[in-house]
Amino acid sequence: MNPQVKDLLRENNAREKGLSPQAQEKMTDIVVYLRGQDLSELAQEEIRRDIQEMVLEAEGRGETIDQVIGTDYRAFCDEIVAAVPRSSRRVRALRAVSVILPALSVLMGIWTVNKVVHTLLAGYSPWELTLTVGEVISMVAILLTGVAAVQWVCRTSLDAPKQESKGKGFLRLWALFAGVAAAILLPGLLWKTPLCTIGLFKAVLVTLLPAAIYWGLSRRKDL
Amino acid sequence: MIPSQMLKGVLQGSVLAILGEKESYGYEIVQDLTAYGFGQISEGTVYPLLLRLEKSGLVSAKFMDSGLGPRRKYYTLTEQGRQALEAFRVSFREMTAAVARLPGFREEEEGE
Repeated sequence: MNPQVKDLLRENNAREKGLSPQAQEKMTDIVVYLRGQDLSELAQEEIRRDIQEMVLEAEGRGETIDQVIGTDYRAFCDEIVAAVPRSSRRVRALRAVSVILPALSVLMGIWTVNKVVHTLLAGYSPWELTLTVGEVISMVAILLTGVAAVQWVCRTSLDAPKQESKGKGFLRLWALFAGVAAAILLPGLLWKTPLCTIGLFKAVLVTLLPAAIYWGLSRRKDL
Repeated sequence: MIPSQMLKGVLQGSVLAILGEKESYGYEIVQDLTAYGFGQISEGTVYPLLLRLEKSGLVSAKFMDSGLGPRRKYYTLTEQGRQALEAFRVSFREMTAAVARLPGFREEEEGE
């Protein structure tokens, strides 16, 4: 993370504790919503700071966050997003890449360790690891599901809670979870056709490279 | 009460006009707008507008201690902002003059 963003994030986290519990809850929803928008991390934290200062002062006057912002938080946030110039296509692409890279690094790390352990347990040399078609599909499914889940949480953070019975809600959640888990895990377990073999050093390199690129990208202020 | 759509069209120019007089912060701008007869406007309405003005270089902003309580973000009109304010003045006068010439808006008709 860019050092300026890191400092601002730390300041904002500390400042937020000075707000009332109700305002803190609303601020969380606002920040989550803004995280899913076309805003750099720096812009997100600057906007967060501005709103915090505004609400802190209002609470000092005895007003609530609703009196400051109004009750339509989504409209407020959309106005804010519209006020900030749109990022270039290149920046948006780099931002998407910087979201995927750390996840890719973690997945490759897990895959490498898992493969080495299984290869050793099977009594083979771990210097050459076999990547299967199913494993690639599983990794892509995990990445896409993760990105989709984060986007869904961000976009719906300001929605009113749905009026739904607990049983129905549980069933819907269970079905969604089972479906996603099956889509993620089954290809890796069932589709064992070898795609290629990767040397252990190359696997470690493929694990570390996305993390290194992410580290480089995260220093930028415009992402 | 001024309808919100009508208000939206003139709010930016009105905020520029307030900032043309003095450096100010969100809550004070809202208070001034209310005092000038714009009705109750929340800071939540003015903040995105100030952010847009800041991002487009029409105002500059800096945080200053308020004495009591949290810091305040003070906004100052830039040279570009002064030009935008002047352009708003000209356009608004043209518009009010045009509206004043419409049937039912002419001053002589009001007396009838």
